[in-house]
Amino acid sequence: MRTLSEAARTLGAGRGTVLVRVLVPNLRRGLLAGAFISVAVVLGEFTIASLLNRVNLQTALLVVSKDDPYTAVIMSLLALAIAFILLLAIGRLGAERARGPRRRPSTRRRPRSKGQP
Amino acid sequence: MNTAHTAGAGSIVEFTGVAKEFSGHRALTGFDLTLRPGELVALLGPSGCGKTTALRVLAGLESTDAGSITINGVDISRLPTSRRDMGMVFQSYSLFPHLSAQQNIEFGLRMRKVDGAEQRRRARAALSLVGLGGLGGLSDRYAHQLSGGQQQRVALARALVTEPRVLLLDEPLSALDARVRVRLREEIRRIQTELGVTTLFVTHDQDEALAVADRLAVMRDSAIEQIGTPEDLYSRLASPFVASFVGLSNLVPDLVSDGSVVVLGRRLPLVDPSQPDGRVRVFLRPEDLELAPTGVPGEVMASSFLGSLRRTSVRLDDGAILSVRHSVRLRPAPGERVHLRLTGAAVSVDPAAVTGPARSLV
Repeated sequence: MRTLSEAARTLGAGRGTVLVRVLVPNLRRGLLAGAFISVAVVLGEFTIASLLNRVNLQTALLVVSKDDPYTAVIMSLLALAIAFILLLAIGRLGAERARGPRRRPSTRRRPRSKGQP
Repeated sequence: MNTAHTAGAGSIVEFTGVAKEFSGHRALTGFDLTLRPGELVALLGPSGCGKTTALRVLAGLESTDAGSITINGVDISRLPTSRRDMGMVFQSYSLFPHLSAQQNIEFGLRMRKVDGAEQRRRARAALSLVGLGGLGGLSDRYAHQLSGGQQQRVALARALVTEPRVLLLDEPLSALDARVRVRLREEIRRIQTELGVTTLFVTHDQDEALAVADRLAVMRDSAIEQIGTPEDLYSRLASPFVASFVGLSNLVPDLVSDGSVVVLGRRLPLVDPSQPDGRVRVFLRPEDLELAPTGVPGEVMASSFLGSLRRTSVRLDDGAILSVRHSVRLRPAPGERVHLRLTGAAVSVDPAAVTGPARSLV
């Protein structure tokens, strides 16, 4: 990553451009995973929110859970499932990016690389 | 003097008293170097001698602690990297993995707001310049679909497409295998001469430096030890350190008198006849010695086959060990008695007065 941003700088990219055009595209997978993990953690904060179980500062989640325990369980399970599916999808997307190019016929690549260097 | 910002014009780069320190370790001290327009200067030295730092300081990737760097007379040492207008090729292939070869090459043009059609035209021209044009398909490939040699070619095209004022090569061939390395270094030289772009080439490989450079600077401990054309450096060694870096030499303690020395019973002229009389050490190149039917006797210690020639180390009867280069037709076995003879070529000497038996720098 360091060499990449240095290469970009020698090619005339300022710090902002390096971030947007080089670092973010190459770190996309990690950035997305990190973002979703944060969402999952925030959802998990419900436990703490439930400690604030006072009539005057109820959170939406608390209201739902009080109304109907079944809805509450269903919602938390759904949240868990969605987070899980998203993480799987990201993993798949990232893997495809890394693998994708290799799907091209590798037989064509060999002779060319020999003829070329 | 043309000061236009085009590659064809060639720029003058001047380092004056540049110093750089990394947390107590001096990487550069009083570093002076001038690159003439269109010249390829190679910086050669062991790792940690400051050669890469010199290059990075010129690129603006490191700041300087003291001294100035000018291009065509304008001080650039405070300019950010992105505005220095340089092309750089790194040792580790540094192609952007998320862009195709073509997009990689266009990157610098995009930063300079060149319009799309022009970008593509110039990228294609750059690809054919580095020998990747015409074959089609390659330009759409991503870095990991290219071989190491191809990646460095694309990196070279990317560095040159913006017509930089200076081309910086940071050990561009070190990661490649031997065959590709030789071919690519010749092409780098061809392209560099063709474009006339002033180039600084950092390497630790002496063959590479001798083969491509207009001038060669051997660095040691953060400063330049000796600088000159490859031929000059090879024949006029300034110190044992340079000798160990530019070809192999035997060191023989000797006495200078009347601008010549007597080695193995034969009087040899000096490359620099103005050397004052006194104790010196003579740099005796392995190719200045030969195995002969008569001469100074010795015993073969080891002999190695180098393809087109053979190198044998011989211990003389006084204990001195000399390395000799000779034809592969002779195959001396360890322990065999042989005779050494001098070809009579002029030698350079190290004035440092040191006594003791001759030794090989190998």
